[in-house]
Amino acid sequence: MNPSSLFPYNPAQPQLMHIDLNSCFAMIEQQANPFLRHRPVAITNRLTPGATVIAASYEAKAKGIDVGTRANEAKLLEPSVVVLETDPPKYIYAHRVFSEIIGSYSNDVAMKSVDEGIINFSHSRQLHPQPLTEVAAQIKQRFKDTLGEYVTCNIGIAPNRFLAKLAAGLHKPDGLDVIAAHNLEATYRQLPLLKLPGINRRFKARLAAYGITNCLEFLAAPESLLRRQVFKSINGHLWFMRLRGWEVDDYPTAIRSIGKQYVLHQPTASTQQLEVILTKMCEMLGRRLRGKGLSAGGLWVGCYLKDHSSWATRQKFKTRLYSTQSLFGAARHLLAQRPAEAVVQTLSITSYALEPAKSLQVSLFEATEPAHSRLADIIDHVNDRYGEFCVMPASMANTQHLVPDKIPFGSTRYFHKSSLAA
Amino acid sequence: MTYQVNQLVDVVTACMQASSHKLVPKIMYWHQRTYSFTRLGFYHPTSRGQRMIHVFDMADETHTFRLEFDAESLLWQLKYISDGEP
Repeated sequence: MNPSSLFPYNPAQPQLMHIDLNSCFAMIEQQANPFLRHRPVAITNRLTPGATVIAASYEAKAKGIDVGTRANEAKLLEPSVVVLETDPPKYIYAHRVFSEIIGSYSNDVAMKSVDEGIINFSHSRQLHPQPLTEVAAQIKQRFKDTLGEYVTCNIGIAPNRFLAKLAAGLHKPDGLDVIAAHNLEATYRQLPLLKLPGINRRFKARLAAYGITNCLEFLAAPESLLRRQVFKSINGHLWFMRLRGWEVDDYPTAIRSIGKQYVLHQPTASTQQLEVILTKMCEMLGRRLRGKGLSAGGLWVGCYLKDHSSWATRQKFKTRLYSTQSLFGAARHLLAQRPAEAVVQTLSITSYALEPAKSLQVSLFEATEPAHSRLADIIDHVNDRYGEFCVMPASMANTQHLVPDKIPFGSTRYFHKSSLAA
Repeated sequence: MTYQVNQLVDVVTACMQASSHKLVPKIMYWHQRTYSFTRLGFYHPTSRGQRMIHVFDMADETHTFRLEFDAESLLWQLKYISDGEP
């Protein structure tokens, strides 16, 4: 079957540029420490044997170490691997430089994560009339000039976001590729299904059940097959369009929940110890909520237990949760419902049912949250000015070592404003 | 191996208006010794409240150094020195 006979490929000139810093955290550590360059480096959020690698250098990837590998497994795969703890201020600065550089090319840019961004040149070609491959080369050089000579990035240029991301991943590291209607089929021909962004093993198995085993067969699949049988939803139609270069992924995303998770150094069943940790988690969660001008209507508390089981509960509350005090009160109430003698390994809290905080309403019967809210705002203001945790609840005394702030994996939307202020 | 130092040090800097890094430490005096930096690894600013701290990861031929410049007090602090290994 000729796939192009089903529906035309997007014939537009590629105007979207996807930029992806190579192995961002690991590469920045190699930039900072010249003795680590060209060596296997793995980055974890904590220097413990069970910690998970969140970034690996290309030298480490060549040894089979990748995101998700545990630090002790990494050492087994490559004894010379250097395991480093994350250094968030460096990555936040790199993210800021990244945003500034891509923002200087168009007013239509989007940061997809700490190290991934998209520039839409559709409305700024007059400012940059040269071929986009030249602009891409200029951007690569600007990264080197600003962040350091070891910093490289992959760039993909295509008519839609999906193909631009695909193009950026074709020749890592330091790649530059263009996908357009003329080379679409040739590009798909050389790729396995799992190389497509958004296709995981589960989707691959689902496609295989309908006889789709490679990218060209996916491209050739009729829209009705994808929509009615394979995906059984509008997603089938979206994939049909996406594969052909039509834009279906340009939509704003709203923040639906904000959470915090902490893996305890020493698992414990002690309510007193857990509540100290919970206080700090609520303060950090509250800072994120208030930083976004939001309040929560509900709270979810979950624990991963030492016996490898898990427990979680959630509740919606009549009064909005905004201050650390109100968040902690709700979280403590929920945590008290955990099974007796449960030895907690990982503690998680997530706020949901988020709304703009200005809609806070005074309750006739419960604690006066607006008064707490004002106090929370004032404390935030003091901490913004004099540094994090200058003013904090007494119950958080001596908790500097607990729940360190880590880089938000994947998304940049939770970056605290003070992190980006420097 | 990394040695935590956290001491104030004397630093000679180069100021280059045309460079992407306007201010770069060149020489450091610490414990009656002179250290000449051969390269800048990474620079990043950070903040402690409203205090701006400029952080420089420097290297010579054998060691790496973390230097912090407090933009309010105008003092340099050597945070740690390392042989390059964690």
